[in-house]
Amino acid sequence: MVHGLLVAVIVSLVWIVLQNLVMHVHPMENRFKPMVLGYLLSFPFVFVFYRWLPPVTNSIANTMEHEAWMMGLFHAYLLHLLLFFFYVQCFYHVERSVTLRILVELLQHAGQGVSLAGLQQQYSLEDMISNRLEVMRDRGLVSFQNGQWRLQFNGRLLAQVAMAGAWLFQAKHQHERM
Amino acid sequence: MKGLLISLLALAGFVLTSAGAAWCFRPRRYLKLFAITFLLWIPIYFVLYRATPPDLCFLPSAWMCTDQRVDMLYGFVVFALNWHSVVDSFTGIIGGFSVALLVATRNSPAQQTTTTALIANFKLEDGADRIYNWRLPELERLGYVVRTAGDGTYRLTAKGRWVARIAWFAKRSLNLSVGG
Repeated sequence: MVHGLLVAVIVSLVWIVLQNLVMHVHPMENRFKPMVLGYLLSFPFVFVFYRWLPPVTNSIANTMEHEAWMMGLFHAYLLHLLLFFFYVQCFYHVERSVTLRILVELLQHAGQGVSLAGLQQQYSLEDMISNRLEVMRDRGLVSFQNGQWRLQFNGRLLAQVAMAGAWLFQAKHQHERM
Repeated sequence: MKGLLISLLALAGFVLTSAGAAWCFRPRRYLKLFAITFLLWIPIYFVLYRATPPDLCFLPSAWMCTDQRVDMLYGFVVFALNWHSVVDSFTGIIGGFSVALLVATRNSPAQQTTTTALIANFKLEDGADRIYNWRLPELERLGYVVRTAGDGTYRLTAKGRWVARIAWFAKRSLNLSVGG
């Protein structure tokens, strides 16, 4: 199992670094697709490395003799998947967080303070909403016809999941806060 | 395999405990709630692992990890990664800005709305917006920013500057624009 876990970590690190290098050379607005592509392309390498990469130590090789070969591969693929989820989640924390955007804006004006009006001028509520709606239209979550935004199937499903989750945890959505 | 199965059990326990605590305490900060319940379930995970038989009374010997400590640690890592997924799903879906727009549209008459009406959803009665007027006092309360008494401008504290630098560096490393 240890061999499989090490393979999962190695393959994950390699594809994540390579995918980010590619994004420096050919930046793309929608990063989700290259992330999924990177994950899928790395998929066969988990098997290849697990099968042919020699175990790092003799003790790992010894333990492999007592464990089912397929079970080690299963754990390798499971950890590979969980690390993919973790990477995607961390990516969107950094990319989409409005709070981090505010902090970075303040950092860029470190010498002098920024007023609320100044922050809103840099990144207004209207801009935030318009940008998000455009992104969601590109992703097929909403459509825009005759001046009206409508939910597509995936958008409606996501809204319903969010409402069910809010009920489960007794939480409020952002437009209901304050 | 035992570590994985116990970690899934601990995750289910964590979700149920968090939901139960949310109903009882109606917390203001959910991340704190999730952190506390996670800290509560960490020792429970290890106790469960120690207290149960190595084969859980049904696992074939070939499915069991030879080194129990490795299996226990692996199960904990899976538990931590799954915990992060749950918390991220919460912040991204239930507490996310984009999803709030979808929910607002879903709750509009005939489930359709205009950009102006969506913007109005994020405005308070006095015209102030919920995004900045909720976040800035929160950031101030948590010690990331400080509001100057004289001119009312906001500045980063040392803690806020540290987080902002990490965010800036992460955005640069990932070749991202300002985002948000």
